[in-house]
Amino acid sequence: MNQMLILLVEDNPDDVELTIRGFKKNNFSNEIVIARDGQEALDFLYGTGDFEGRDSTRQPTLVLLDINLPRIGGLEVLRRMRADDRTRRVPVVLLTSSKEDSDIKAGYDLGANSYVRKPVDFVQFTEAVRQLNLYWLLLNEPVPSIG
Amino acid sequence: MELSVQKKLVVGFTGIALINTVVFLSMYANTRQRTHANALVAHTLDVQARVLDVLARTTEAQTSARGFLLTKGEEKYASDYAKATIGIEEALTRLHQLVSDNPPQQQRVKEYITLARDQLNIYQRVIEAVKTSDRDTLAGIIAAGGGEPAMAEMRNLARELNAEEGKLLVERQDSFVAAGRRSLLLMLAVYILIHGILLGLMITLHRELKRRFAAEKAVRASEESLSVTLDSIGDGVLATDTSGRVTRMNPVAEQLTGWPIAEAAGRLVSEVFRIVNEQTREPAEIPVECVLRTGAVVGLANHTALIRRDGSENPIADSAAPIRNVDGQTIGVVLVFREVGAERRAQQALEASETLFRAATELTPHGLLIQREGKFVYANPSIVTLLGARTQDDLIGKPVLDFIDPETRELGRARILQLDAGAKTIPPMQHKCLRLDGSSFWGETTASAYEQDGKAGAVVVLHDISAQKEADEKIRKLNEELHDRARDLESVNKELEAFSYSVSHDLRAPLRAIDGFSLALMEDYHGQLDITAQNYLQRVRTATQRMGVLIDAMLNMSRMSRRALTIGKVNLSEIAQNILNELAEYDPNRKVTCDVVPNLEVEGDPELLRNVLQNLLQNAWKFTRNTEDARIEFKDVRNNGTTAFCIRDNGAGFDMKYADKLFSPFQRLHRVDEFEGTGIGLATIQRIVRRHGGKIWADGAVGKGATFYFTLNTTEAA
Repeated sequence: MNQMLILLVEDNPDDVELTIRGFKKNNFSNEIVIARDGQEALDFLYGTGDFEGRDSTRQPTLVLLDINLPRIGGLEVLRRMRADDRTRRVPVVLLTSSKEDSDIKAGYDLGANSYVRKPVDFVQFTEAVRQLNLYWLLLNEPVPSIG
Repeated sequence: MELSVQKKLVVGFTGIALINTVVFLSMYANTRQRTHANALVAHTLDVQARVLDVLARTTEAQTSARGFLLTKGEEKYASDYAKATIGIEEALTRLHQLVSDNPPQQQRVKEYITLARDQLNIYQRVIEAVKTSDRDTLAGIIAAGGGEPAMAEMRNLARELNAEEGKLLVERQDSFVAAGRRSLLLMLAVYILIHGILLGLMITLHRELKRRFAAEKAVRASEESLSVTLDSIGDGVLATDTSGRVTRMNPVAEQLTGWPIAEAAGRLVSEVFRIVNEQTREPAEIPVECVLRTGAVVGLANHTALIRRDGSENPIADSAAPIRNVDGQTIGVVLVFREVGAERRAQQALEASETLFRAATELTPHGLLIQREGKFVYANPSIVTLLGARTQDDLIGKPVLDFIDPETRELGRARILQLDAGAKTIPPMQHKCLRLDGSSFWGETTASAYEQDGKAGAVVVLHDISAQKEADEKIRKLNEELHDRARDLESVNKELEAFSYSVSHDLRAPLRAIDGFSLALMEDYHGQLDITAQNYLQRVRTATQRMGVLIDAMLNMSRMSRRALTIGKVNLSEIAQNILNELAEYDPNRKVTCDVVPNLEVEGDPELLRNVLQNLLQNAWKFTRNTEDARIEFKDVRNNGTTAFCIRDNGAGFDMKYADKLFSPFQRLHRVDEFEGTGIGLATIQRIVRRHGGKIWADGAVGKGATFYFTLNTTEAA
């Protein structure tokens, strides 16, 4: 079994730093790829742009996707992932900073698997990430690689 | 052409008279002709006789002369001769006269006479000669043949004459016979003709008599049936002759006047039929007199009463008409009258009903018209005014469609057709209506089919809805403005939403960083920080977390105000009970008595109402924290006729002085270290209650607990 790969799409460097710290605190040694906006995320997923030549058959085991992103928004990234056979089955957890019903609803409509509200209390956030990882990375069978 | 019997008779008898005249004239002519013919025959015979007489005399004279000669003068012969010659001249003259009408015969007669004279002359000379014994003369005469040649000639001529006369006789006899035959034929023809005419006249007369008998019988029968009819007529019938005297009355007339016909007959009608004007008591003119004067049919003036013979009085109605014979001459007057008491009452009832309906149609502020075949036959005063007419007459007869604006006239026509096709009523419709002067107004028409005398029509009600239209227009404008405002509001809401979103996202992110990195410091550099530093970091974290809570509460409030209501049936009791159960579960150390009145149901948005109860019950739970025997109630109370719900606790309570601050955002009556809270909760639920058309208020005192009341009305307040 390949090492698990997590794609974190997040534009706020603080949140990136704290999330990675959260993973480390929970002793996850999985590979984490950071994309700082939607375009970068899509380039990574499909081996385009800065990620030209990446083997796009190897898809992340989990995508943590912030909704509010520069350039291409999180919901748009999700839509494109679900429209592409390579990423159709990749589990996506939305990260939101609001309780806006419309975002959550739109996310589920586009095929999000779950969502996490980023709390102000970071302990809560770390706990949420831990549980997510546990569920999606350890308990759930990862999506078989294509090819 | 059919000739009348009289004419036939006149023609027949005139024919007979004419024929008689003709017959008489022709008989007369015939008789005259025969008489004439007869005379001619006699004349012929006379001529013949005279010719022979002359011949005989001449012969006699010859014989005598010869005898005288032979006897040489015997006297006897001389006297014979004298006898023979006496009157011969007259005979000759007569003969000459007789044939004067026939020239050829006259010629012959002249010759004949000449011959006779010549001979007589000879014989005279012979006689003379004998007497004188003149031998020479005698010899000469004898030598000349004596009278013999002339005699022979005379005899021939006599034969000729008589033959001619005989011929004439035959002709005349024939003509006589022919006249007789003609006469006979004429008689026969006349006989036949007269008999024919007489037969024809007889037949005609027979027929006429038969017809007259039949007519007489019919008259008798009709007279009988007239009597029966008159007797059975419900009206009184009285007839008079031209002098105004009563000739007949039927039983009703007898009963109404009180006069039996036996007594009334021959009396003046004014005596039997006494009428007065009911109101003036003046004697009224009996129409009989008027009919006799004018020859026209006359009706009776209203309010006439008939006074019976016994003095009692009855209102009557009557009419009189002349009776005319076949020639059109007035030969009497017939008066028909009846009692009108019952009729009068019916008339009065009708008038009362008419008045009622007239009031209904004329006093109604609605325009009312009746149209027949699309034209006005009735217009009430309201419609007269509505259509700008002065009187009903300005409208009667005009097509109703003329009063509808051409734009919608076809619709009006279609509606009329709909009614004509059998629709009973047609639904109201708004038209632009035209007044007589061409100006227009908005009207609404409703119509019900109303057929009269087999002609299609309708009763139409017309309202002037200009004012309503104007009001509608105003409302429409207001609505438009409202709509615009709602749109503005909506865009403001959208902006607010965007703002909330960014607040939520952008304000929370730095907080998260502050909290996260503070935690990282505390955890990763624990050994390097003293107690105070750690305490400070802890304060930083507490403050950022509280700010996070405030932001969330604020966003929640804005969401609650913006969210569209989803109205449904909500069981408040059930929700309250669930919330209390959750609170008890979450805080198992607390002992709180909860009293929830079951099955309080309302119409409303379940999620928002749950939010209200959650807030109020949490508050109650929170503020009874330090109360022994904590108690929380949820129940309904009657308040000014409406139902209010209330949540009461026996907790910390509040000072009523600050009651008005309770529902303002971020206003708190307790310190955070006493009771935590954002100060947003009550502000939020007040918005929810208001959106349900309700009110929320509180009652309480410090240390005595608090009671929150709210009412709901499902209609959403703007």
